[in-house]
Amino acid sequence: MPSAQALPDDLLIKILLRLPALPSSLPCVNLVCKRWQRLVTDIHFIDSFHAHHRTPPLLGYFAFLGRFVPTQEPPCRTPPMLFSLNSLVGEKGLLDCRHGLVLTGATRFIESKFVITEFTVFNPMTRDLGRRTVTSERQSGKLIAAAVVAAAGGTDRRSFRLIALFASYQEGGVTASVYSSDSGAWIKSAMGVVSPSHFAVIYHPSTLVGNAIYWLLRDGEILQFDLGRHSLAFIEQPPHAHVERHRRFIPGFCRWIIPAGDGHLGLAVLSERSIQFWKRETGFSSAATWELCKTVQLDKVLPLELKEHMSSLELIGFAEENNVIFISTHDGGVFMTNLESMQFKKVHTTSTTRYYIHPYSGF
Amino acid sequence: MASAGSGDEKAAAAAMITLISSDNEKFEVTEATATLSQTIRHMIEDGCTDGGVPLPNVTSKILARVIEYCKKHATAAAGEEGSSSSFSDAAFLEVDRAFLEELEEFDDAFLEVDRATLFDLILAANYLDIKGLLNLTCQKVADSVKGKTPEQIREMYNIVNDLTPEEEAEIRRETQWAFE
Repeated sequence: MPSAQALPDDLLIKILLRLPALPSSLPCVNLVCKRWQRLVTDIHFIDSFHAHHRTPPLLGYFAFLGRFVPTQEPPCRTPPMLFSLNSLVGEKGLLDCRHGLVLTGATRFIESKFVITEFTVFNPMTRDLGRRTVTSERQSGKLIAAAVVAAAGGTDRRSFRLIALFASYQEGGVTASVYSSDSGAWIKSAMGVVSPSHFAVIYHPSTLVGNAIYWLLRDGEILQFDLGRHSLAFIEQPPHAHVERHRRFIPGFCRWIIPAGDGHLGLAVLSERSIQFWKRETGFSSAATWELCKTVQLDKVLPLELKEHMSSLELIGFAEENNVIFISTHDGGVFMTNLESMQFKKVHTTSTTRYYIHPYSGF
Repeated sequence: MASAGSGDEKAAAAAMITLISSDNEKFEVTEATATLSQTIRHMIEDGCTDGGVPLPNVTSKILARVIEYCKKHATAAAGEEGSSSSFSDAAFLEVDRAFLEELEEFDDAFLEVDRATLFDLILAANYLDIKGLLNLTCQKVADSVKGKTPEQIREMYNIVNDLTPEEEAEIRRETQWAFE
């Protein structure tokens, strides 16, 4: 009878790395014996597992008040309680989710206003391991948005950067501050802008495209933070993306910033009958322009169950690592679809209108 | 390979390598087949293949299988090189696709072996440094583990559970959801 124990560690590791990228894969082999347990719980193994699979599975999303809604089928269906933000970090506001990391912020009422006092970055898959609490930089304005990015293109989840945007009337603009978990320090990069809409809190979750973070502002304008140059810039929306949606027209729920391939910025625009996919072309000589790449007619791709809700659909979240967008109906539940396949799947029976969700992907 | 030395008999003869298994059986293979193994490639580059290459870690039974794999994949590599100049030709692409499908079928059939042989192939692929074969065989074992319970994995691969009941209970408590 052959025994896998005859294989040296390096070969057994090669085999275990090839287990499917499912959340139940490692817990199962963890229980085989002491040797396997030692191998698969080693931090270097977990890093290699990430690197080998690159795209982690989409496990679910954080909904209103940090409640977790799993999207996988059993046995990979993570129990909501495992990821309950309340049990993990207490009553703190969820700010962002990316590369398997969750960013929350704690506020305190100081001098008659709410001020962010600390941020917490953690990986819910490993619970307390690597949880980092970061004291917020002395603030010159109110926090309007924050994002987290893991190092090495998202594969090194123990090392991250935290980007916080502060807006100040006195200084007349938005300031981006970046915290690096490696140096343990904040770096401030200032940028003056003047427009009333720039001082409002950005509830729309950010999207990482190439080496920049993008936020969609309320009026449809896009705010870009370049992670390499540490600079902020504003990008106008596609000129023809003003979609008529009488009664329910809210730009934030019918647009989503998406990657358009090769690091290009893209924008999905949902209208009553279609989804448009825009791409921002940045030529060497000419100024950047938006191009309409594709229009998908909704009645051709929506399942029957969704068709009756066609005029009340809202974009509520986007899993950038999996290219999956979440759509809520007014009262018919939450659906998700990969933007390539356009195969819709119902993931929750309760609708999530007028709230954004934060999808979570991890191993 | 017929095309490699067609005009030059001497070159063709020089391109043959003798591999010697642990039980002293000799296998004549072309250099193209043998150099799928990085270990043998380095030996050839260092000029130490005269009188055959002894492979004390590989039995004749396993070496025969490894050579079967290398022959097939060496032809595939040669085919790729040959078609690269005419990649725009749809007919060539069609041929490539058919060939890749055939190669995949070959790999599937090749892996239809018992577990002892599979482990021996992994060890041989590792020793001979044949990347494709190592990936293929490791993936086969990983696929066989996929979706199995810890008990089934232990039984399949003859592994003794040396976790104490306390350790096992502790791990189960943390990851109970994965077993429901």
